[in-house]
Amino acid sequence: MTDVVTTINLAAIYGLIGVGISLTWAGLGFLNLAHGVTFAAAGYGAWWAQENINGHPSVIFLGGIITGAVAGAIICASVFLPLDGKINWPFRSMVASLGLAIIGVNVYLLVFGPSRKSIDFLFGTTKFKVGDTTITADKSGAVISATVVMILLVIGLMKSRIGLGVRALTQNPEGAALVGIGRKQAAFAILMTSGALVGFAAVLLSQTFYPEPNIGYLPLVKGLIVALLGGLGSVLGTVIAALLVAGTEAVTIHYLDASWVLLTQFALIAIVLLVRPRGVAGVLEASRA
Amino acid sequence: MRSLLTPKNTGDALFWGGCLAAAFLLFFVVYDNNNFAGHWNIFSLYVSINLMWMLVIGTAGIYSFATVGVVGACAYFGSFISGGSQAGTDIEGARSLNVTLMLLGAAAFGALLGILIAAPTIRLRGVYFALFTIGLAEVGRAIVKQHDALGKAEGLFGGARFLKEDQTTTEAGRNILFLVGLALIFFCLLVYRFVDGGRLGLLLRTARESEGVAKGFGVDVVRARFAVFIISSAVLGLIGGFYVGIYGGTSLTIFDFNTLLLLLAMIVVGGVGSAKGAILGTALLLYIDRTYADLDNPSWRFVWIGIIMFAITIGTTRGIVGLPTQIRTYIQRRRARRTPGAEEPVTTPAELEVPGL
Repeated sequence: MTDVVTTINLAAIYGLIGVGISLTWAGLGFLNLAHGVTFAAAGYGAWWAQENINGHPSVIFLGGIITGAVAGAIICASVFLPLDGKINWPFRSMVASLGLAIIGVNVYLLVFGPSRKSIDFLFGTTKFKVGDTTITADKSGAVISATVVMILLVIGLMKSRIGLGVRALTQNPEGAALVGIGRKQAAFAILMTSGALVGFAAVLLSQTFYPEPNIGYLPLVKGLIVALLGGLGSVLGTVIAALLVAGTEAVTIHYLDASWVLLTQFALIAIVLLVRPRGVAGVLEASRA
Repeated sequence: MRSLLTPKNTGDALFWGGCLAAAFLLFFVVYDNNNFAGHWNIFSLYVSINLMWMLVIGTAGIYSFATVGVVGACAYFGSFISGGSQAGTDIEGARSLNVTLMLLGAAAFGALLGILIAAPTIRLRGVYFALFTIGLAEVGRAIVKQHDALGKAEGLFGGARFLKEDQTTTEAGRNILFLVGLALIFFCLLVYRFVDGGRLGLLLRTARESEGVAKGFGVDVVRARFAVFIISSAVLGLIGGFYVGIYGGTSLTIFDFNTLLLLLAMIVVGGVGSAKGAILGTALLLYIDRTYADLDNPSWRFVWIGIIMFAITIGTTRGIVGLPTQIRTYIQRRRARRTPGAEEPVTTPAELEVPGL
């Protein structure tokens, strides 16, 4: 039961991180390797809001989400806009985002130093029991809030005008351009949304991953694994993949050791991708990858 | 052999002539300067790794990040088979090879890894394969951390070396390692030229541009990709063996993700798909890395490396080596626009240019 609770908790957060990467690649053809730096930026933004504005959980969440969205906008303006449509766009955009990541991590080191920052408990310290398993408020709060955010995201993609544009871009970029869907506006929407999502995840994970300069590396790797397994472009696939990845992690920690987690997760990737090269629910044609 | 060594044009001849002259001068610098000798050893290893990585990313157009993982795994293998052991443990005489056999063993192990890494390319493409290979270095690190025989977190000490024990701090020893590094670079350049400038390179570039068209021409894309992975991984394995031969052991830092980023930055800044780019990019970024390493806050070196990497990626199509062509094209276009009635020059798109050394 403990493994199930851990799995669901981790899956909720990995799903938030992975769906941003998935949408960015599907909609823009851009593998955003600066996603980890956005995660760290959001963590610092949440901490700054706590220290300088108010320690209320809503303020901390807003600090993380807004910082994440702003970081997404910066990535869009500095990487996507100059390189979109240029020669060798997929490789150059990936490398440029990696350059931003290198700059970001080391600027955090220079400005904030290597020490971790502490963020208060967001959902309180209460606990409740389900059978023999104790569930803390932060775990249940993370699952519920992540689920609500994912539902809102899906509704936004289905019902809103910009969501329709994003979906059109993920399915047929040329067709979307023909009907006048603005690629630049959609790019800002996608990158700011993915930044906001990873910012939200950073705040939810702040009790485990305290804000520090290198904190974004592991969430980036997890997000890439989830996006890859789920199939780039599919929200449902990302959710399923998040459950698989989180389940693998929970079982590995329980039966082996934490140091084996990445090994088992990459073994999972190898098995899934060799059977389904486009992931669990990949929707893209061969031309994308 | 003669065609492998013949420069393609005057610019190439000047560049390679300059490199040879610089190597001749550096031979005497290394004799007197222990610090510089250390920088040269790293430079020779990084340039060699980048040349082999160029074959995969540049010539074949496959986004593989398994490079550091292969070098690290083969370094551990080479150290293990030639007597390396965890610090503080006794070395048994059963595992003891000379340098030549250790290098051959490491290269063979690298070729085997190349087959394993190439296998997923049958099904995986593009970023899927890239993300698959990013994890390989982490897998290597995880495996090493679990086993006493591989030194766990301390690494492996010992193994066949190029120098005898009494030579390691002498001027003659430094010059021997300089020549070893130079020989490694020269060998990797030959391999690069042989693959990239030969039939295999032509097949890989055809498949890179369009896999469907290549198959229509009768190109066995899978076989070509297997070949480039086996060749490049075998040489990467050799480089891992050279690492052990130079430093007398290996550690987990060889799998460091920052090393992978630094190497990627070098080939991007220099120019993907060009051996000149590998040398220029490595020299420039290694200079920055070493210059800022001793400062009070060494994070500045990675800030500068990141800025250069970002600026070169945004501003150029083919890194530093492509800058002269890019500037020339820009000037010609501006002149054509200013001259009434003049036609804009027709220039070969970067991706259609035949790459060379």
